[in-house]
Amino acid sequence: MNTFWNLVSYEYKKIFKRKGAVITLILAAAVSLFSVFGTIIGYIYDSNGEPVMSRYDDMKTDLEYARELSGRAIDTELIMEASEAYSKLELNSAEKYTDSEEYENYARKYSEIYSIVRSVYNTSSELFDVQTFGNMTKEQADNFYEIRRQKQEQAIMQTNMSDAAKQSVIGLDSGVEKPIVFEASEGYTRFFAIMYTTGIIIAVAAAIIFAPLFSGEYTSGADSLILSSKHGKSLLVWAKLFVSFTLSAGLSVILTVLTYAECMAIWGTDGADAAIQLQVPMMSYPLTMGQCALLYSVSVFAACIMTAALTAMLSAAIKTPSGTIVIMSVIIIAPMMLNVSEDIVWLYKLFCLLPSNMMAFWCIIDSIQFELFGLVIRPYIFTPVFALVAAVLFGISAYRIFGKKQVN
Amino acid sequence: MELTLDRVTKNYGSKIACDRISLTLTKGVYGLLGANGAGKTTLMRMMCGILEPTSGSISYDGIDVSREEYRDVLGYLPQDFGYYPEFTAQDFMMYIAALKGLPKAKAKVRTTELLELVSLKNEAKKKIKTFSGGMKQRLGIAQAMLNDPKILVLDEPTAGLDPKERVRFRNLISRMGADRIILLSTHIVSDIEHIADTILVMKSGQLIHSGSLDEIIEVIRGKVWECTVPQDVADMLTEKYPIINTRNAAEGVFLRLVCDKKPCENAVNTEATLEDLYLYYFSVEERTDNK
Repeated sequence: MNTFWNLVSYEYKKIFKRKGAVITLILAAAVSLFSVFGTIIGYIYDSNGEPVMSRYDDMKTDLEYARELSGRAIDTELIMEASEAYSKLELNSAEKYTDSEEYENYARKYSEIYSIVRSVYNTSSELFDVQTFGNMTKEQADNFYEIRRQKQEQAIMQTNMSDAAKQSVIGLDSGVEKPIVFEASEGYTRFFAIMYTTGIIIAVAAAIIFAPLFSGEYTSGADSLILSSKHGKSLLVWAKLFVSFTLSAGLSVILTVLTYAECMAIWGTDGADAAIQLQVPMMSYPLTMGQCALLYSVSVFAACIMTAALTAMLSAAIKTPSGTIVIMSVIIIAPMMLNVSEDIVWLYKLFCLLPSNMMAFWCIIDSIQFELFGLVIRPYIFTPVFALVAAVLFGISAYRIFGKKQVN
Repeated sequence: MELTLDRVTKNYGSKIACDRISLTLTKGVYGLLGANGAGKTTLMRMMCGILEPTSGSISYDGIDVSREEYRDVLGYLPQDFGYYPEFTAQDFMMYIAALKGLPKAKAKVRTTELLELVSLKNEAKKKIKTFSGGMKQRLGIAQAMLNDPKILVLDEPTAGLDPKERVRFRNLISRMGADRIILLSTHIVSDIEHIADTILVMKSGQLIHSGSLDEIIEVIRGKVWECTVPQDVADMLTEKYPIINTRNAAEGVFLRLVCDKKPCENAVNTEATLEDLYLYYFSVEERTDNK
């Protein structure tokens, strides 16, 4: 066992002696920091291009308004209150309504309520705009949850999931407490958005750092020494895989905690117990923002481990680190530019299992379920489990490929 | 202690790199001679278990070369061995020691001993990237000996060493050969001549000779001649016979050549050396190729 830890320490040493790896880690931390702070740097401009206020002050104003409404149920009373505030807007095509004084004085406070209500009343044929909201009737507001239920059910029934999966998803909504209580939760909303960037940064960093894990030995010529040594085909390979798993896990935990801490520090820690429906009103999972943040973080963590293991396997199979980096870049970046229709469920779910999609919040809380051997499995459970199983399989493949490597 | 090669063959597509080589190696120093591309490195890689033969088998006292037990008793210096430029010599040795399964305490002792043996003690804490070619080669030799191997395979170990280091290394190999199997390949024929108990000659993937220096040289004994002749005679002899050496002298051109019978009036028969044999074999090949 001592030999194993000894080899692990040398593998870490090899990585941290490489300038490229150190620069990659520093850049990953810097980009991750900037992706959070970048959103509050600069100014808000009006339609004439004049600065109105700093983004930081703008964020603080929104936060104060949200906190004023915290604890109130999203019911007829609050919806009508918000509607009345929006009815005071004098809409004209020359000016953006958000630039108007009326918006600042009356409506802005309710902007988050409008955002939630809008997603329920919007239809494909009719847009629920600010004017419609301002003219909303009490009867419409009374039907808020019923309309939400109908729309949600319709959306689920239109999918190509099995009947069992459809009923399972529809049934989930009964667990969502209604009326939904509004809470300021911008910190979590931002965390869900920024974690995607953080996840991609970790994946790219893992691909760059671990690309030379095995192929670096081929290009340097050290493979002859390693493969002819006692532990070169066995213990060393486990040590290398252990390093790739632990380093990617460490990187993932550090950057996730950093992103979370930054979001909470800037936008406040409020909202951990708030319903996720404040972020995604049509969602049927009875989960809180805090629970979603945890599930999302676990998924990103598992996706990073899988990315590291896949990189290690490619590194064992491909002769040069640059080849591995190119393939990994395609695997990470290409899905971000592609779209797969939900109509072909199996293809769509496979698409969700690509590393960069595992790091997208929408894939984790997706209504389309994974179905395996008649079982209906929630995406936030299936995704991390799949990633960890795949990581183990990639690791075993890397072990076999390197162990059988021929030095020609 | 017996390393057995049984009809070992390695093909790369239609090219045969090693052709049905059968050999039994016991304690002692074996020198492997052959021109570039003769198959020496391929054979050594197969003996180290890092290249699988297309057919045939290699085993040490019944243990197949692919087994961990075999690698445990093996020391190998590849032709162009890879190192980690940012590692110090000591780090590198300790890392290889870990790969060979040496406990840390023992690894430290062996590292100190071996770095001293190859005259790198004062450079132990220096990064390998600052080393000259000769220093790297000495480090390579040291790492091969870390686990006190029963089988030591050295692919061109003296390349890059200065004459003093080469002699020191030769003597070291001679001493070590007393209780282990050592196989070394080199283009420096005199190294093999001095230390190898058995000489193996490879040509076009085949083992064409195997035996002691005396047995090997027997092939050209009495056939090596020296003479000093005018330029036109020298040109004629060069055309007809394998020339070992040629040099301008005051009286004409000095030639050392291999020939079954006296090539010219003033030719003097001289003692054959391994270098004569080597050049004879491979110049014959060249001459045949040119024709």
